[in-house]
Amino acid sequence: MFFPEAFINKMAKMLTEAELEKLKTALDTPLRKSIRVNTLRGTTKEVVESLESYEYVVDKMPWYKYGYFIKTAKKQAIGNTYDHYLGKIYVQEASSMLPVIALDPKEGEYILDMAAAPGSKTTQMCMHMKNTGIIVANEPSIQRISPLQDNLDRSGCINCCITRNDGRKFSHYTGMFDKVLLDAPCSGEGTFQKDIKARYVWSQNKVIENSRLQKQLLDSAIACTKKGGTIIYSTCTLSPEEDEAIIDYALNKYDNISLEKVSFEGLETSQGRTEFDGKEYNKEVKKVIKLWPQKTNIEGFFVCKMKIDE
Amino acid sequence: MATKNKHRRFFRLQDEDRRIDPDPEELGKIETKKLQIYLNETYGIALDYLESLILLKRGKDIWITNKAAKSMIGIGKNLNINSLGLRALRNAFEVPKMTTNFAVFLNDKITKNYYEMTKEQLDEFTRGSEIKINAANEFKNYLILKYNKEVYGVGIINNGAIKSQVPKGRVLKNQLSKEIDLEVEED
Repeated sequence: MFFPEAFINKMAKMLTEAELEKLKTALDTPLRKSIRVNTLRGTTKEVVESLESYEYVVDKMPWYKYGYFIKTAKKQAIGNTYDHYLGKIYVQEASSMLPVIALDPKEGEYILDMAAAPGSKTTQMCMHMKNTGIIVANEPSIQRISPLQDNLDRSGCINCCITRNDGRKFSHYTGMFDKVLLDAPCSGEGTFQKDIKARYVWSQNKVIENSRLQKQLLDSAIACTKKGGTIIYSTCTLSPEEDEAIIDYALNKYDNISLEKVSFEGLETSQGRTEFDGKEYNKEVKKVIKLWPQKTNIEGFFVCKMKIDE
Repeated sequence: MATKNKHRRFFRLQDEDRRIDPDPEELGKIETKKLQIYLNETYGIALDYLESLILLKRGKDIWITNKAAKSMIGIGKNLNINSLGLRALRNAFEVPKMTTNFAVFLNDKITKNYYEMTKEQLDEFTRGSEIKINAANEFKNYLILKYNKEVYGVGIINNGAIKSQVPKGRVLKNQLSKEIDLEVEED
């Protein structure tokens, strides 16, 4: 299967030859389908029973009580079930659930989701907050607002305010939010497993271009988070330029931020790199986590938990 | 070379969006009371149920949100708010039409003006088809459709049948056997 040469060369700088082969094999293996139970609409028990009645085999994720892997011998679409129709389930990648678990949204909090569409993480936060507090679900792209609204509505979310701004605008709202989720726009190397097209549109130039925007968005997230507040920076990519380098940039620029370790039960995560391609990163970057598809059997992902000092 | 032709979809959408959706404002006490009475008389919603929510007026529609979200109204202009909460009623001040999402949200709070479907009728209804019924004159305005005591949507009586009001994007496809991935929903 095709992989961009520059991508493979980059991965070769981080992995052994054997690991690189395993990565290629993992990226060519179909992704396990997964769903999240939306407890605003139904209970895990009733949803599991209902999916089993559609002849789905349902496996709970060890690290998240609302996440399930599903498979079926029948050729059927999960989107055609009544559970989906009623918003009791949300089709969501397993790795996409991790940033919200790390953010740990609480009832009554004021949270910004800086790049919200299509709303997987927004609806997940809403569920954890039991429709209390506020989530400002920001999405700069007008074309992506409609699917975002549809998903919020179907999931029964009433505590969300959809805004349409460039995320960098939030730097003007100093200390406004308890927590910020920045699931940054990225080159999507983690999605190579499910989206073959993503391999063809990938380029190192795009990685560099993304990293500039990611730094600016993280600046904005830091500015609009309260003292003592939490920021989750995540991407679905594996390039250090879009992951560790962004965190290194923030650690060197701000003296009021610190990183916190995150872990997920039963998931083999890797710590952040402290050097890449001759560049040394801040030692604190070790606290971030990277998910390699060949180790985790889920989509590649990057998660960093950052605190704004009191 | 691309031009900013006003008839091109992208620019038209932006303009329409600005024109149709004024900023949300909190519903006044008198209008709230009228709405509480309407929902109570038509659907059996307890009069005090809406007191835990904030009702917002946006054009002809009513949206619901929680009390904390009320603080967003004041800063709406600067933040370019697209929507706040969930659209509950369309055309609320003439012939109110409850949205499917609000009906599902209310679920067991709805105790009047509903029709309990059979499994076959549920399949028809969620696929956007009409349901033939005998007692059409027992219902008023937009009625609620339930199956196993759970709300599935809103319908309207038309020539002795219930016409499904399930939004097109929400209608279930014909067979479970057809593989359609919902990639749009995923991150």
